[in-house]
Amino acid sequence: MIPKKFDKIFLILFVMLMGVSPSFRIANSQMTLILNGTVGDDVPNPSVKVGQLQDTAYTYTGADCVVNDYGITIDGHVTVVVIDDGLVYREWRALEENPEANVDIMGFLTEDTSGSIDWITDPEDIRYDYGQKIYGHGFAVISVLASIARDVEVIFVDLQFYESPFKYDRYGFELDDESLWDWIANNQSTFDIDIISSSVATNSTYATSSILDDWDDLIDNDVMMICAAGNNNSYMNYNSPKDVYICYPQNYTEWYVVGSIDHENRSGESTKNQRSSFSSWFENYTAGNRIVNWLSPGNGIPVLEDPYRDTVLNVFRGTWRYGAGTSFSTPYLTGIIALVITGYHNGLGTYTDPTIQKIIDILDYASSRSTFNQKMGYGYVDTYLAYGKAYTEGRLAS
Amino acid sequence: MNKIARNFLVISIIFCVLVSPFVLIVRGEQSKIVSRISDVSEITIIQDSELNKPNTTLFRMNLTVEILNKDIENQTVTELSDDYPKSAIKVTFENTSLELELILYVHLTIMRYTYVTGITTEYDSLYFYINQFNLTQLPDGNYTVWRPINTAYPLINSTTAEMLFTIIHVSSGELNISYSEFDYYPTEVTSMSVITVIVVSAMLSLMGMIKRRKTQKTKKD
Repeated sequence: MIPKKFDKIFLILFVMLMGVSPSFRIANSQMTLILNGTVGDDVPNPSVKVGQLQDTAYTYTGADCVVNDYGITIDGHVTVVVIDDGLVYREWRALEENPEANVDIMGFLTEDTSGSIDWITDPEDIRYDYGQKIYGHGFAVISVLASIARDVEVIFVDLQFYESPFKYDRYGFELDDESLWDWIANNQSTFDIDIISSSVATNSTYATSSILDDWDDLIDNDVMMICAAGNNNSYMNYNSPKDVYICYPQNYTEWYVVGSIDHENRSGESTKNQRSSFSSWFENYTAGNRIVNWLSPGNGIPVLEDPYRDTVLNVFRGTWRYGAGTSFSTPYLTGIIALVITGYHNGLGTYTDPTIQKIIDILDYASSRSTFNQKMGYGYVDTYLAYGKAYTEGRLAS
Repeated sequence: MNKIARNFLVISIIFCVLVSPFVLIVRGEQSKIVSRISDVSEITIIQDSELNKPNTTLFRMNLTVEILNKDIENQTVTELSDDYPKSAIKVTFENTSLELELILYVHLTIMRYTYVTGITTEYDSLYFYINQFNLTQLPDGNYTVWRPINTAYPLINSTTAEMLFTIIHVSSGELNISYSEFDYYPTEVTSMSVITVIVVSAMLSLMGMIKRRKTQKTKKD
C-alpha cells in the first residue's frame, strides 16, 4: 500500500513540477507574445492589408475609404521633407517600386565630409557609396507615409549618426546645421514643399536665431512642421535612465507634435482608443503650442524592413512587419495632411495650397476629441472626415 | 531493487518538495540580463567639429559594453527608443560650476534586441559638452558610466534586467577606473539535476506500477 501511495503522489508532483521544464517555459513565452500584440510579426497578406489598406491600423481612421475605396492618391503637388538617419540604394529603390505602396523620392539632401551640400536625384549615385552606416529607420518611416499618401513627393534629408568608432556615418547633417534649414527655406518654392516630418529627436536645443528665421519663413509659406512626441511615457519625454529630456524639436512652438493611439487592444487590456502606453506628452495648456497636438496609430502598424530585389517582379521591395513608436504615428498624420492638401486642391480645382491654419481647422474638425487633453491632444484624425472637409473647403474657396 | 527504488523515491520527493522550490525561487528573482561597461578608452577632445557649441569643450569617450544573458535561452529586451549613444554618463565635478551635457540623437521607435546565452560585446561612443572653453583634459570629478537596458520594463515586457556602473575618478588628469564585474553562475546544472531526479523517479514509479499490475493479473489468472 505504501509504495502505491508514493507512486501516485509522486506522479502528481511530477506533472506539477513540469513547470521547470524548458518546453513549458517556451509555451509560456509564446503566450506573452500574444498578450503583447502583433508588434514584430510579419504582416500577413500585405497586398490586401497594406495595398488595399485593410489592416486595422488604416481602417481605424478611415484611410482605407479615402485611398482604397475612392482611389485618392497624391496628385504630385504635395511635397514632404522627411528628416531621418539616411537611405541606402536598395531602400531608395524599394520606396519607389514597392508594389503595395510607394512614393516618389525627388532627391536626397546630404552634407559631404567637406561641409558642402549634396543634392542627389539618382539613386545610382549612392549605390556604391559605403559612407552610410546608420539607416533603416528612415526607410520604415517613409513606408508608413507611402501607405497613406500614395505617390507623394519626398525630399529626404540625411542626418549624420554616430554609434561607435567602428560604425558611424561619414556624411550627413546635424540638426543645428544652419545650411540645412537655409536650403529648405530657399527651395520651398522650387519644390513646393508643404510638410516637414521628423521622427528623430534630441535632448539638446539646436535652433539658432538663423534657424528660427528659416522656420518663420517656412511657416509664412504655409509649410507645416510635424514631429514625433517620443516613447518614454512621460512629461516632456523624460528619459529616466539617462536623466535627460528628449524634447527637441517637440518643445519648439513652430512644430506640431504627434503621439500614438492604440487602434486595437494591446497588452491583454482594453486599450483601444487610448493613448499608447509609451506615448509621451507635454504642456497642459495650449498657449505657445508646446503640446501633443494629435494622436495617430503607432502601436502595431505596418512598416517596411529589409529591402531586397524581387527577381520575379523585377522590382525592389521590402518586407512588411508590424512596428511601434511615435516615429510611425508621425508619417501617418503627415500622410493624412497630404491627403487634406490634395482634397483642397481637388475641391478648389487648382494647386493653391491651404494655409496652415486652414489645415489645422480641418484636422480639428475631423479629430476624435473636441476638447484638448494633455496626453491625447485632440485625439486621432479621421482621414475620411478630414478629406471630405478639405474638399468642401476647397470648393467654398473656389 | 524495490527497496532501493522506494528509498530513492522518498529522497526525491523530499528534495523536490522541500529543497528545489527554494532553489528555483532564488533563481527566479535574479535578473536574466545584465549590462556593464567593460572598457573605457580613447577619451579625446574634439576640435573643429560641427558639433562644437560656444563656450564649451566637446569630448568623445569610447566604451566597450558587455550584455550578459544568464539564462539558457535567448532573451529579448525591449527598448522604448533607439538611442545614439545607448550608454549614459553622469558626473560630480570638483568644480561645481561645471556641467556636462550628453549629446543624444534618438529614433522614436520601439526596439527589440535578442541576446544569446552568455556575453554579447558592443561598442558605444559618448559625445558630451562640458561648459568651459578650451579644456585640455577631463575636469576633476567622479564620472559614472553605464548602459541602460530593457527600458520598456514593465510597460511592454516582463524580462528583468540589471545595469552595473563603472566609476571613473579623475584627479589632475589621472584616471582611476573601477569596473563592475558580472556575478554569473550558470544555472543549467542546477535545473538539469532537478529535472533528472524527477524524471528518473517518475520512471521508477511507473515501472513499479506496471510490475505490480502484472503480478496482480498473474494472481487472478
